[in-house]
Amino acid sequence: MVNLVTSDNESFTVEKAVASRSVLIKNMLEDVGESDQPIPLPNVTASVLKKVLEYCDHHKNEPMPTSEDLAAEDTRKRTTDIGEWDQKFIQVDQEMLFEIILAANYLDIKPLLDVGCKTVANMIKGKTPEEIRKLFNIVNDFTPEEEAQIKKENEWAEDR
Amino acid sequence: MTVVIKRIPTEILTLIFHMYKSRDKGNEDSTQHLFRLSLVCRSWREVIQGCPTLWSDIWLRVSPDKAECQATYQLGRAGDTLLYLTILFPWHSERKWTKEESAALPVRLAYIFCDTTSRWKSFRIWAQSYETQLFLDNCAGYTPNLSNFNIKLRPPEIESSLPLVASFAGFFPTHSSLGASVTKLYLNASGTHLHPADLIGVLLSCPNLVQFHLLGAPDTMMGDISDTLTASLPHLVNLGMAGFQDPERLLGALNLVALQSLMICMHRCSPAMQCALQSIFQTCNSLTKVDITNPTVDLPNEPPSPRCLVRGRTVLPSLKHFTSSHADATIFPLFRQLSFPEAQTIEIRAAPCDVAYNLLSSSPQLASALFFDVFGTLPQHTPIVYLPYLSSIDLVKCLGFLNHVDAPGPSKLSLTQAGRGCPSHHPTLVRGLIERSDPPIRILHLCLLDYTDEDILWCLRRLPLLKELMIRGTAMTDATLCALEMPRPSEQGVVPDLLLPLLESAVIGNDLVTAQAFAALAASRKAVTWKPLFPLQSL
Repeated sequence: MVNLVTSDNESFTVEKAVASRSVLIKNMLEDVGESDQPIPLPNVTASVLKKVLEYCDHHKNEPMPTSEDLAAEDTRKRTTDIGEWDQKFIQVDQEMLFEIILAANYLDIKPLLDVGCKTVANMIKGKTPEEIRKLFNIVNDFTPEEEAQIKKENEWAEDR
Repeated sequence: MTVVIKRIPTEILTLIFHMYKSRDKGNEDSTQHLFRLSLVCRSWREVIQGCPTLWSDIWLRVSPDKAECQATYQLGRAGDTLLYLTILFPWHSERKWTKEESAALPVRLAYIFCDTTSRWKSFRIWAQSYETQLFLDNCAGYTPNLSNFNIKLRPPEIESSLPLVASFAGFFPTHSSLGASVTKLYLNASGTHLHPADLIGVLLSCPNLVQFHLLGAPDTMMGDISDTLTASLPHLVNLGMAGFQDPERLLGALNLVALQSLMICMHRCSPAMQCALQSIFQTCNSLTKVDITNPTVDLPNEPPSPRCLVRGRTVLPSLKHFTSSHADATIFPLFRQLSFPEAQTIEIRAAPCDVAYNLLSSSPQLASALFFDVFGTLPQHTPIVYLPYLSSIDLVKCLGFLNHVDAPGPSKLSLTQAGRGCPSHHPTLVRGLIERSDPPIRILHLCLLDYTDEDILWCLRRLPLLKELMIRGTAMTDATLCALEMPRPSEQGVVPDLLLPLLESAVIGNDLVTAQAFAALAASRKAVTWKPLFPLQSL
């Protein structure tokens, strides 16, 4: 078993196979060897780690993506398809979604990072810039002149 | 902006934008989408404009007013990244520009791309042969990174007064560096004269080819290939050929050892083809998938040619999936000698009974069998084939084949006969299979069979675990539908057992069944998805 300590000082004891879905933790365990020392995760809160561990537990028996897999998985070829269980798992509020993405990135759990990014990509698909701003509460920081200029520059790409 | 989205680092935003880019079939141009995203806010624009790989997929639908702007813009943004280039020339009938422009555009585009060939990772062009030739003639250069080369030539259009057909050697770049890194080659050569020697020359320049698909016009001949002209493709795992009348010419000239998937679509099979296939079957031990299809379905069955030279049994030790669809009769002597000890699925359409029997009896691991119009009969006392792992049986117009198969636990049974009015098929065989099946069947399709309510209910009462049911074109009446309804308690309060309690979906299409009975059944069992196939009688 492995003991993980979150930024808000909560402790999680999990199977090694579950924790090792994180390449970061797996490498730490390999470096430290057999040890009872808790592993601090200063960038992850308890509520987010709980979700991440739920994902890791569900996928614990799947083969880890090898470096060859990752190299072969050309970024430009990635689709936005998400598995059924993963879709249900990632049905969380927006803040938690981004926290999971950040945690997956920090903990180096590539498949979970993919699920999170695909979900965001699906959320913005088919939306106008204004709708995307509204969705993520993003402020439009272009001046009207700049916006007009950008539209003009890209005129040839429209109505195709 | 919410705090959390501000914390998303650039590399993750880039990943999201990559995933967001449209991959719509038929329109993979992502520039519009990227421009829209870059209008969201200044930081997104900076990320998008500053990420060359987002722009390296160049998908051009050629038109005089936009293609050059787009090409120039994307090349500027893509920096020195590897390029994935697709150039799609529209059909003449879709064009709104002059014939002069038609001739000039490929050249003008070539000038834009000619200095980038060293960065081409993938190149696809869909055009008429003269356009392909004009573009590549003006764009030929060193292509050390090219791995995917895909040419789809459109058939010449009658109204065009431009040169109609270019020679294959003419449009294919001849510089020797082409093949060094090419692993995927797709040629649709239906709009050109294809000389086999040219094609062999191209293949010889691609020693690392992994995937090769060749499509020709259905009525074209490839022609003779000199016996001394051969191409060794030691890494080729996926080979597909369709359209030519004589694919054996090329097939016989290839030395293949690593092939895993072979797809041949051919009208006629010659003895030479039989020899070429047998040679591949004997040398490619890693072959896992074979698909031999005849695009026409109504060929007469010809007697095998006396020149066929099939000797001895040929074992394909790794084969998992075998499909033969309306294959020419000349191939059957070869099929009779094949053995698939590891086969999982076999699909046979229009073949003699003994061919199907041989393939089944040599496939002890079989999980799925589909036989369509397997004709003829087997000699009396032919041993029954026992297939312990067969889970899916699909027989169309050959129900008699059940006489020769025994499977203890199929989960799917699909039977289709020619329809009512055709010679009746005695249900004893089906009853035997259903009685022996353990665990009971989960999916049952009975189509175009002369089965009565009694036959059908006999089956259904023995299938308590059935989840999916299809009955169409049988002699079934409302009586079966009534039996399937949720039972009502008797006067003593006893509730009879529900027929097919685990049923999830059912398709019913019988002209002896009334719409009212169907509606009553659907209303009584709402947990089941019911689908009517018309005609259902309406009273």
